[in-house]
Amino acid sequence: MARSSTENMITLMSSDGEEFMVTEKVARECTTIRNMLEDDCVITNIPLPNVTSDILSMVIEYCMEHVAAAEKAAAETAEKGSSSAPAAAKANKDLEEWDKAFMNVDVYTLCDLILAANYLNVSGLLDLTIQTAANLIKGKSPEQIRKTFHIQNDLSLEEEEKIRSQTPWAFEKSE
Amino acid sequence: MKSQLPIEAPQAPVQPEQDAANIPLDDDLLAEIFHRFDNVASLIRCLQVCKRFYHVISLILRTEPFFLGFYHVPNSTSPRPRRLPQYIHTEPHFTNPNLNLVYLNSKRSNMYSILETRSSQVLLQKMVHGPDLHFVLASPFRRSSETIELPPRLFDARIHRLIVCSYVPWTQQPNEEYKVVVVFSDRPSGALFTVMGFSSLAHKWTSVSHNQNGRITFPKRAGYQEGLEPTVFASRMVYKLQNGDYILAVDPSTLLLSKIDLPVTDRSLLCYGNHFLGRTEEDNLCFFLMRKMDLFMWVYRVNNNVGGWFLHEIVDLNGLMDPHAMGEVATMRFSANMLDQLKGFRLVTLNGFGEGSGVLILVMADWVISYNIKSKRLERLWYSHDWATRVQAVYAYEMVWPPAPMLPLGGQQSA
Repeated sequence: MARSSTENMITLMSSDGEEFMVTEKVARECTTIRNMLEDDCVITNIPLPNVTSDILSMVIEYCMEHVAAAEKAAAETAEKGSSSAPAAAKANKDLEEWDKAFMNVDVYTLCDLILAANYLNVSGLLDLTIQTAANLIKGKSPEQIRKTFHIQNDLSLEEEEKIRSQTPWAFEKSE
Repeated sequence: MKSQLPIEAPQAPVQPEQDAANIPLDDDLLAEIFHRFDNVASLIRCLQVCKRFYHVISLILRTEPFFLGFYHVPNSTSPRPRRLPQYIHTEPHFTNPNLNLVYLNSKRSNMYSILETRSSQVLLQKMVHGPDLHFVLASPFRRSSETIELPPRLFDARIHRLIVCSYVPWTQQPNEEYKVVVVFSDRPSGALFTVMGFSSLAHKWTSVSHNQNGRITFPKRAGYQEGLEPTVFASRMVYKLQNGDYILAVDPSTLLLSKIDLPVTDRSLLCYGNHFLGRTEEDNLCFFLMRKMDLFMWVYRVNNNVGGWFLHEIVDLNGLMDPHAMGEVATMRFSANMLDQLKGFRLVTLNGFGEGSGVLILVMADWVISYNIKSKRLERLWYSHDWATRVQAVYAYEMVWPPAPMLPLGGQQSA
């Protein structure tokens, strides 16, 4: 396959009009953008009216990190002929650590990231953010969940009682 | 997931402060989050957060059955020959659902024999004096039960032999109906079958008698176990392994019997405890056979009214022994071949199947082990001191949560 040596740059424009220049490779991490590029390869400027600049810069940061990690792994494989298992495991672990640190955000940002990852179809980021949200919710009491996500309780006392009586064992403490 | 990029996409609601009852995610994404939960209890606790959570979670709970634990008949040290099956709870995250059946014992003289469990119901035979048949359909979660009696003088324990007793959920809400299917033969000749079906809607039994016509022969063999093995309900048919000879199929609506040959023709491959029936996620009948530690799985598919077995896979269970999930069991050597015990192998047997969650239950060295046929995960469930690795039926208990229909809440809407 013929490949130009100079990397194509693509401009992504956030909802608030900020422009981000990224390499095509990074942009292709977003399946939605990849599909557009494959449909029409002359596009260089893509407006993203659903993503704010704060969130878009985070999505780009995530994509860049993961592209860099993949490139590094590929380079090592090419150099040594085959990838050494411990080095690959370490690289994976480093990336996991990076993801973990990256997910150290407030719940509003987390929700916005989920929406952006879903909209741009970045499967790795969607997976990561959804799992992070699940970890935030599970193991908490209803009140703690409401507090964490700033959710108003719109159930009447009567309805709450109905739910409790319907599933009594879920609310009993064992022993 | 949205896959196209609409340039003029509608703005997503991103003002959580104003719209506090809504996490700014659509129902699909919210459901994605709940799907990542690894335990039912926290999912159920989330029902109480707000109406939207209740709505989204109830849709998940309605469709996914959970494996909670199992019933078994204790290796009895009690002088009484038959007693209530014991409930063993194995879902570690769920807090204390007490699903034992002790509440059935209104009188001390009552004795039961467990027949099968299916979709959160337990079908038992009530042992009574006299020749008649009494069934009890217990719903341990609701602490309720109902007695279903065969019309008097139809069944006589002295001359008939029970072959199939099965509870099947037939139709869903709102016209919920279940059926109980019973097949028995007359003991002396084995030539006459009677198939009885009870419908909960009509609240009556219907029956069909079959003369033996060469297609189905009733196996008569010395040492035949009187115990009734549970059936499998798949593709709206009831299947029952018939003494390792063939599979008996009963259509619960027409009460017609048919016969399916086993996928293995060499009978010497089968021994007590190394094969079992199950149901695939696609609602097909399947057949398991253990050879040493290789688990063979065949799936029965019907194409243009012709059924056939397909070897679906062969899995070496040794390769799935994760020390984390299996502990000391992972260090032992097992084989399903009885004679290998002489060479230092421990016996592994197939003892039960959970149709809702697709879990095959094995016993290895007194440990009850679950094997999820989809995720291929082996997990230790419970240890019994007195099992001595003999084959004992294990009745999986699983249910779609919640067991009662979800309540309609006022002002419910999807986002």
